Amino acid sequence: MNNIKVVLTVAHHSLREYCKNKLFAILIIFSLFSIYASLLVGIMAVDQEYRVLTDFGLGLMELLAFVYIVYMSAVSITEEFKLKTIYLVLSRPVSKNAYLLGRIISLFALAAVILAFAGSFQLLLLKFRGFDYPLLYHKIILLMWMKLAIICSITVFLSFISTSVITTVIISIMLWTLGHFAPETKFMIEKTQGLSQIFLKSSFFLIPNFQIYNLKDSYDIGLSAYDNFKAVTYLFAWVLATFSFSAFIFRKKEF
Amino acid sequence: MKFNAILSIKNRYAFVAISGIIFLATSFHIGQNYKLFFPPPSHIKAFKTSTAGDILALNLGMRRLFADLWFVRLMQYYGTTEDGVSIYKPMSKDQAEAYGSGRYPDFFSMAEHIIQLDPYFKNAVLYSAACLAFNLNKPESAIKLLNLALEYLPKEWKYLTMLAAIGYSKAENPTKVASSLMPLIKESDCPVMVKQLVAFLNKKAGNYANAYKIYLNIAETSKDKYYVENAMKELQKMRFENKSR
Repeated sequence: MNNIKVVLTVAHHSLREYCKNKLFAILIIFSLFSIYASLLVGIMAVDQEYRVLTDFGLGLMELLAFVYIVYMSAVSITEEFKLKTIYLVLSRPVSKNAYLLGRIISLFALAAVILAFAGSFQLLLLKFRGFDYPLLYHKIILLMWMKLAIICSITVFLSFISTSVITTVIISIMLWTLGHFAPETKFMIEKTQGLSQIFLKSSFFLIPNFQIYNLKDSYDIGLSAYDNFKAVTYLFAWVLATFSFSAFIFRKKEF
Repeated sequence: MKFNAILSIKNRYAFVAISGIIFLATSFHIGQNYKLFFPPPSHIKAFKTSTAGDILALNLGMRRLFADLWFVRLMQYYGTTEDGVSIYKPMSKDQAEAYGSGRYPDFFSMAEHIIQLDPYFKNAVLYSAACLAFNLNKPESAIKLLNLALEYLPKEWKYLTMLAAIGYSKAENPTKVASSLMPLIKESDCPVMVKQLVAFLNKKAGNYANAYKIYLNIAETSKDKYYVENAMKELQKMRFENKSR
């Protein structure tokens, strides 16, 4: 079978599997409810309702999508190993690389589905309150998706090297928080010297810098802060690296 | 097909090495050119029990959202008289007249905290500076706050206008304060508190037409019940005075 067809078939089936999961339904209901609940905070902000409603919606959307994506990335392949269902797939003419790529693409698509759902709901809510389409909204969502794609690739890679799902999830959460700490790390690099500076510098380059995708925190200070080309290149570099490392380990893995 | 070649690549060591090099080069390039937009953590002073929230704000990349939360808290703090009566509940005439003034000892620290989290939150800066300078009689604190915000937006004309108005208020020239703040109130994001202040100063200076227009704007556009009710009252009063003249 053609490799691209295989990849797309794996991706399609995996995405259906993720969307049929009970947790997915709970997440969607919970995220819609939370975004709706942000109306209350918005009303408390009186004349700043628009800003607060937009910020709360975006924040909740990202957080909930992150939780589900990380969990799914951590369990999707590991569960297949545990339940031995991976034999059913790999006993057919499906290469390990195609299987892995299919899985990763389905997780990317899952992130897009969650953001599209929650984003549409938030826009409806804003419309209902009589507000306009928020500034750069589509770009904020796209950058949010890129951020989720990076953490998802990292989590898949971690799931190959770690011993349990919990460890994978914890490390991913740590990387997520450290990734947002990039400006502070850069500030600390400038303030330190010697060994600690070397350590901080290497961690700065080796930990994903999620701040370059964090347009939701600063969309009114102008586009100049965010370079489209850089954002896409950085995403590509992270996805390529984590995919190749994961594939390398996957090939060596014995069942 | 190239894509198929990648998927069935034989030399996996070469694939890993190439992707590793691409990754390192990109990471290095992005890291080297990364600019700081926000105040570093050492510039964020914890306010009472804000430490845990501040850490979350930084770690989750949600400075803006936490600044919003602090702004809501600030408005609730200032929206309650120092006797503990909310401005949205019925209050005595004395309480109503005294509202806005007072000590509000935490006001500056709360406002400063918002700016340290999100220095680009213009509405919060203008609202806090105007309250400090014109209602709480603390122009020095207001100037300090505006200067802090100007570090991140040095060309922001709204802050410079507010600074000029504070300067006039120090010279006890209400007419100049009102005229210097006029361009600000034409902006859609101008805090309603500033609009009310300009309307009041215009009325005091005898510019009834301007004052009427501003009160009308507040009554039509604001969502704040307190300011809307006050604007309606003022409009009624001005209509009545106009008829009797």
